[in-house]
Amino acid sequence: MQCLKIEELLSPYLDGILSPAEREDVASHLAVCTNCREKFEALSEVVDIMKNLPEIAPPPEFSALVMAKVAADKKTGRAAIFKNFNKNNWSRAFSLVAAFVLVFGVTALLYGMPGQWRNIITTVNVHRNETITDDQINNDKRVDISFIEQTSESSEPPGSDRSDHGETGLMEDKPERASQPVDVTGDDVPVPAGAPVIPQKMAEKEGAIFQQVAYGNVPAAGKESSNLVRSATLALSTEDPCVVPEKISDLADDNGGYLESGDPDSGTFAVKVPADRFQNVLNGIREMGGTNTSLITNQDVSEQLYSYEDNIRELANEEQMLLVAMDRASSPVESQAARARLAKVRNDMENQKKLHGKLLNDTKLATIIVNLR
Amino acid sequence: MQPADEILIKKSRNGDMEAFEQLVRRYENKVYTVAYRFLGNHADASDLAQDTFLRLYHALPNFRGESSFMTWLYRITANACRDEIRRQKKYHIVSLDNEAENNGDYFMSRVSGLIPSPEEEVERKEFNNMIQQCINSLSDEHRLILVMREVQGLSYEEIADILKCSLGTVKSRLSRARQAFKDKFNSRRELFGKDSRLAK
Repeated sequence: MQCLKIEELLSPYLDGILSPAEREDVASHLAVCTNCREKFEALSEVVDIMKNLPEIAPPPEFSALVMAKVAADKKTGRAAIFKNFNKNNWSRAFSLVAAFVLVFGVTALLYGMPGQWRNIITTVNVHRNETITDDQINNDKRVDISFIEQTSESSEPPGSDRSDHGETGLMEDKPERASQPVDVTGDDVPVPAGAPVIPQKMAEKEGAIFQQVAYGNVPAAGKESSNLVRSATLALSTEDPCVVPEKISDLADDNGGYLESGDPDSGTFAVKVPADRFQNVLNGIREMGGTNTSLITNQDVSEQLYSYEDNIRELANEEQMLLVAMDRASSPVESQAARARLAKVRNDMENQKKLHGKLLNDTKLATIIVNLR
Repeated sequence: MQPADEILIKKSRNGDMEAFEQLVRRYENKVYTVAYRFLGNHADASDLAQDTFLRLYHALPNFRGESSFMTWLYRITANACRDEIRRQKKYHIVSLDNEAENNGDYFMSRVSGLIPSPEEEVERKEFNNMIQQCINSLSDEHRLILVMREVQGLSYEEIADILKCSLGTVKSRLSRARQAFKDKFNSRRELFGKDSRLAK
């Protein structure tokens, strides 16, 4: 071991706190290294000197001074927390109070006074012991769905009026929407218009909504635009079959696409291009040779996309109900069953989301298959 | 026969000020020595030691006897020293006098050891003053950890707990502090006089 390393260990070695292996290393090194041994002896000497410094007695009146101080401290009768407060502590406490007032002020400005928070911020844990009726669960389901719809479409719920929500106009949207459920599902769940929302129910829902956003929100299917999966197959006769594939690949690259597959032996090539460049690329390929046959398909997959989205929403709703059921399970068996079902629901939901994502991706990228002759 | 610490503590908790004064007298040398070694002058040491006993008075209801009273009191003392460093850093306090350097240890305990000759006593005082000067010239951190370890005899774990740092930090900081003290001591020893037997 190097002397430098040993030197670092001399102090703990002196105190006997090294591990047996380190202690052995140091001891064997000191046995052979005069330089380190001298350093160790010098260190031992100064440590001994400090340890053997004499005790110092305070002035004779010291204890009386202490007792006077204790008596004076008792006399002031201040709360223990303030006993050792100096000027700096007070300024720190003042800063803390000022910060609290500032935070409270900003919060009040944004959300109103605490009495008005009830409709905006609800907590999940209040009224945990109350039972949920079927009707409440149905209502929960309805509101959850409406929230998802609003989130995905970024549209104002019918009848909502932001000017009613406060003078600042800075009110958060989400809690307002959640507290004013609007039936946008079109299903037959009976909902009396303007029915009062029970805070307990909202508390349950708030947790459900936040979790559902995490699991249940899906990319918008683009209802305004057509959800077409576009593809074309064409036979291209060319005199130079060696150069054309490269040209096709370059053309796809230039238009933001790529050559997906190519088989020089069979002369079949497939390119993927953005849907909005589909026609341009197709025209470009046609110009590379003579085309006598071509097949263009525009498959509308909107229904399929909506179907996936509906499935995802239903699974998300089921997930929330299972979470509530788990929370309220009266026995471990029930809880276990709910947990098992929850795992399956989540798995299904992930699968549906993958299928949905893939199909949506297909609508964005068109396929062109070229058979060279 | 002196009453045990536990009895005095119990009485003090119940408001018996005489019992508490007995505790103060019993441990004032220990606490005062730590304060003096740490601060290097009697005026500040007296203030710090008084503050320590005031802390002790307030903390007595929390003493559960898990460690010895002496260990517990030393922890309070070390905490007071640590807080003193923070206070001094905050207000940039610089001591203008150094009694150890100018006046010597007037209150050095004479209770232990053989009675030395006057010459030896003078030389011993000077030597101890020189040691104190070495301690005073160290940085706050080094001074504190050296006093905690060498004067108070706290364990590495106790020091780590008080300083809110890891054992590794204690180990390395103490090692550096000892090295720094050794360097100061070696340089001052030459000035102290090669013929002094204490300096050899």
